Amino acid sequence: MKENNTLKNHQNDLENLERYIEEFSIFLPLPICTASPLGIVIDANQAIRDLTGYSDSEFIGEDIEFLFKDKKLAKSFFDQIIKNGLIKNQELILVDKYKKDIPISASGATRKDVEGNIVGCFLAISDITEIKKFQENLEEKVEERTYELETAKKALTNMLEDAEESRKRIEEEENKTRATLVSLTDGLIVFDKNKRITLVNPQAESVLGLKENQVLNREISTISEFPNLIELYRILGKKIEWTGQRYELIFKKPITRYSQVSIAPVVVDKETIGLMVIMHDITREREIERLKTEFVSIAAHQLRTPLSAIKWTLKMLIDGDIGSLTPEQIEFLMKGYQSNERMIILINDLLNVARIEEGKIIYDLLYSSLEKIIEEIIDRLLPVAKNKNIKLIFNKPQKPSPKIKIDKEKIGIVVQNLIDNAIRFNEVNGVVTVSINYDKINIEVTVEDDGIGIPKEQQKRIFSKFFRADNALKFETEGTGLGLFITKNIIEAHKGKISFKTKKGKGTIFKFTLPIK
Amino acid sequence: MKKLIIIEDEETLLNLLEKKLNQEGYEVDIARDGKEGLEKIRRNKPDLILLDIVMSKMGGFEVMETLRKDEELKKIPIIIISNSGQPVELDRAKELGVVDWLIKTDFDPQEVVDKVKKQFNKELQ
Repeated sequence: MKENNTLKNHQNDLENLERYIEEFSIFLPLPICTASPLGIVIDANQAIRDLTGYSDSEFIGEDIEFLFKDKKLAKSFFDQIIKNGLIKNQELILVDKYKKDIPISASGATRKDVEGNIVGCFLAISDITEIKKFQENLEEKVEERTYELETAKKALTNMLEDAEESRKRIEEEENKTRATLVSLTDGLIVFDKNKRITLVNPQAESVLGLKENQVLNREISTISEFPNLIELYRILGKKIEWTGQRYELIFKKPITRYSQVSIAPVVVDKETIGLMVIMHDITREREIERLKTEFVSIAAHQLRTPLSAIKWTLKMLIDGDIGSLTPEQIEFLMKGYQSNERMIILINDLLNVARIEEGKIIYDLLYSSLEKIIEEIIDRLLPVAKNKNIKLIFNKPQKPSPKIKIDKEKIGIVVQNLIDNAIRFNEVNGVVTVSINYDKINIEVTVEDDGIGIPKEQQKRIFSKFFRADNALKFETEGTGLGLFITKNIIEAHKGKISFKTKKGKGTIFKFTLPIK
Repeated sequence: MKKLIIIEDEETLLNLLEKKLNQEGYEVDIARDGKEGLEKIRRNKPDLILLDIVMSKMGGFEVMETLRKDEELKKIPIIIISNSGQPVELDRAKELGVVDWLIKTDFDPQEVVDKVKKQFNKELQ
């Protein structure tokens, strides 16, 4: 009985154990099956049924390989288990009942009996679809990222190349700019924003008596060893600023040189990056100016001397100072005298033009009466007017005009030119009217004629040097074409204004105004 | 009778002016350059000097500067008769006490005589 009981107990224990294993295997989420040493499926748990979709009857008794896509690989995996006792994590493709490929990782271990004989093997399968997917994703991502990185690298390389190229280009530009500045005939010093010297071109080097590298990156105020540079800085008012002003600089050493100095901003891409001091050599212009003044002076003297000898001789003969002459002799001498006068006028005009160009036309400013000047000129021109039977009228203001500060002689030239033109470009029996009007600010003088007028297309040019209107040329061959140029310049030098109104064939009115104060 | 001297290196002008002024009743001395002129001024003490500027031997400015150093001679009025006449020259002449400056081409002998008369009249007043 005892033995029976023991057997029964054992039987119970065994049944319990079997149930335990069965329940355990059902509970276990890991798909597990067992196979015979020949690879026939003996048992399978719920998880494997869930994974493959096969029922026990479709599954148990089959060759283990039938579950897998690569049968040969599956067989070899199984053989390895039998041979080695344990194989872990062999990746295989499982084909489920619905022909779907499922990537799995399989591990297997042999089962042995008490004597150690192989009685079969356990096979555990884990679905690695997610891992695979993740892996693939990862790979994709890595690939993607690699691609991105490569693209970025390429872009970066390109950028570096571009940067290199633009650096080269900038360098080239700089070289070009430098070459231009270096070959410039004007002296040039470039200052950066901090007023430090960044460039001195060879012309400036030679004028200033220094070498670029001696002053580079220095502030001009700290430089004391180069006298010409100090002088330049002094002329600029001890500051490097863009004022738009021009300065004149005279260097005594090594030879006397005149420079016109100006400052201009250095602008790159609309941004001011510094200032440059430009020294334009005007030594030659100065020399020419000096020679011109000298020439004018000599010409004035040398040309006038014989002309005055002729003038005085003829005048005294005409006046009968040397003895009496026949009317015919006097008439011829008069013609000679007049020709000589024309020559004198021409030379005086040329001298006046030279003075205008020197900016020295006005000399002696004195308070004078315009009426008096005009009366004197009219007196002088009366004989000329009489010759053409032209009536000369002077409308003086009721109350004399105020005396104004003028160069009497030069305003005399203006009045003379205007009245002389009005007579000369008038018909016989014409009328010339001179009038003075004034208010508190200006005195206005008008000279009106009823002569030939100025052609419209030539009105703009009548104040130009050596200009003579076409009809004036036909009408009167005399004249230098300088009169109105001189007239306008004299009036403007007095801060006055001159203008005219004209109608061809009807006459012309010239008007000039001079400020009272 | 008023005495005057003409210092002028252009023979024609000198002769014409001398004749004209003689006819007007003045006692006229002549010199053909500054040096000769100075000597004659010192010797004859004229009442008026008519002086050219550009001359070969001693120019007008040198004559004036020399006269200025002499207390007696510097009082003699001077009228310049010259064909140059740039502003710088006029300024300098004024400083040296010149009473008038005539551009020869712009005046004739009669007008020179008028200027001389005017100067003597001024002195009378």
